[in-house]
Amino acid sequence: MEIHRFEKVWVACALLLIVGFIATITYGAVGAGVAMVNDEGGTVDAQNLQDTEFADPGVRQVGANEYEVYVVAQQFIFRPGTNEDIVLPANSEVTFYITSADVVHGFNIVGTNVNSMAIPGQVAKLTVQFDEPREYGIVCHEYCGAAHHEMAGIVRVVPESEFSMADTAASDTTAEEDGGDA
Amino acid sequence: MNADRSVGPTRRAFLGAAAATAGLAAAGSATAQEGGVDFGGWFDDVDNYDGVVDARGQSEVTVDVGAQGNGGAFAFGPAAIRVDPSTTVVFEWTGEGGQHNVVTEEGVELGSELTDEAGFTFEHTFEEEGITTYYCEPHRSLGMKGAVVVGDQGAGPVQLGEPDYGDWFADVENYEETVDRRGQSEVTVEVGAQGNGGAFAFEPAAVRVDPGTTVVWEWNGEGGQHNVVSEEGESFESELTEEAGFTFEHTFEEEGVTTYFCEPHRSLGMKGAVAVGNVGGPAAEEGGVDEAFANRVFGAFGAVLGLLTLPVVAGLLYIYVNRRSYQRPDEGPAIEAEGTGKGTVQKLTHDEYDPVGTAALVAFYFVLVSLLWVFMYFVEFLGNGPTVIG
Repeated sequence: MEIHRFEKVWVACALLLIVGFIATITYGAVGAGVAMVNDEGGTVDAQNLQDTEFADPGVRQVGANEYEVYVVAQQFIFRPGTNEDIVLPANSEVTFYITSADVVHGFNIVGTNVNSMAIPGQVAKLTVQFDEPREYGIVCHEYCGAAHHEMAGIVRVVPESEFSMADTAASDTTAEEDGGDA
Repeated sequence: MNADRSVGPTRRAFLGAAAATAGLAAAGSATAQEGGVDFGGWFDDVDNYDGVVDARGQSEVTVDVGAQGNGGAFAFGPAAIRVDPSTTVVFEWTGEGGQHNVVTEEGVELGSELTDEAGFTFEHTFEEEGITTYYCEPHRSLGMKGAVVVGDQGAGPVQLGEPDYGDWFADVENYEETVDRRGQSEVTVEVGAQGNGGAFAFEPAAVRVDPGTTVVWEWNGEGGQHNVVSEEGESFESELTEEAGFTFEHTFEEEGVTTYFCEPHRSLGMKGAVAVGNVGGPAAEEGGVDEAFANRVFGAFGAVLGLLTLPVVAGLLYIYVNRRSYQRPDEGPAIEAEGTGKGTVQKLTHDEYDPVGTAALVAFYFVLVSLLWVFMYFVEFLGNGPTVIG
């Protein structure tokens, strides 16, 4: 079989392109530090969330600039997120623990790469760095029932000077945790 | 509400295709005043609302939480009840439809646990006359809403709709609806209330009073100097002052609507109105809905027509631009005959022929794919932080 020299060139180009794709993704994971959401978060009993860390979901401070946010997705709210905003300080490293109380939901901070499914019984653990004060929307992007289109929330990243743990959702837990830290 | 509907049809008209069904729904529930109580549209999206259930004369009334309705077990049954003062309302969870709770929108503070336990109960004793509206947080958007009417209010004459203010309130942030203060001989309006980006509001912005009622404007001293100047209707003008506690009054004798404003802050939306007597009403409201509905239908029709026209226009344009190539079949054979007329057909070997055009096209595709990849991965994906880093 004869292969025209032009064809040889573009077969080589195509292979080069594939190598390029793989290289960029490798760069994203190694260089830019983009992580995938995996099963690291572990599992919980979706029927008895009141016996888990999700009993009183909300923001908890775990270090100087480190916070944990427990979020329960359920038909048709994010708790917290929908009825009260998730308030976080700028320049903080935040680990979200997200699970569902009923059916499969989605958790996407709109316009960003913070994106996960919320599966009953499974905890999605994802760490995010928030640099600038800004308000983000949260949407559920997995069809979850009649009012799926209404299921949304807000993450509000405020300047560090304006942030106080007293304003956050899980006030009870916060008080205990603060006591422990002090 | 009326003003809003009739002012903003232009943008909606274009979205009309999608909104036509919504328009039908809105037309179907123009007035939510059965049972004589005006819930201000609270029950517009509540399927199982069917008037106010009269439970007066009972000391304890049970409301099911998670009753059938609103596309599942997402209802309070019954949605609206009327009870006597000092009645205990027991909310009883059916255990269906997932987790529910009872949270007050307006009125007496209620706040139950969020649970899906069948048989769970939450109760409250309503002492005072008034209306309390409540909802279930997770399912509010589905229409899981309810109300408790305490006492006989509204059981009598039918409430009126909004008077026609034109677009007077279009830029007044703190205006929601006309506050009904009929039956009082003196009504107070706060001057310098919070609203319109500062202390630049009349509170309430619109009141309905009986003829012969004296309206007293009371300055609270905030937001700088204010005054009260009538625009249309009865004529009055107050002093311009910022003194807290200063009052100005006017007695409204005639039925009708009087609009007024604060001169220094008119452009900010510091405007108000007094509706005297039974002006306005359901007739005006229906007119507004019909007009809006007509606009939506027209918009939907226009949108469909536009979509149908688009491919036709595109097709005609394509033919026009390429009109020369359509003539080729006629000229073509002549040229070919000329070429072959010489009688020699040169045979090219495989590598002698250079498909330069194809190569250019392939090169263009490569460049395009590479650019799109760079744009997608580096700009859209990595550029839109924050990103999951662990």
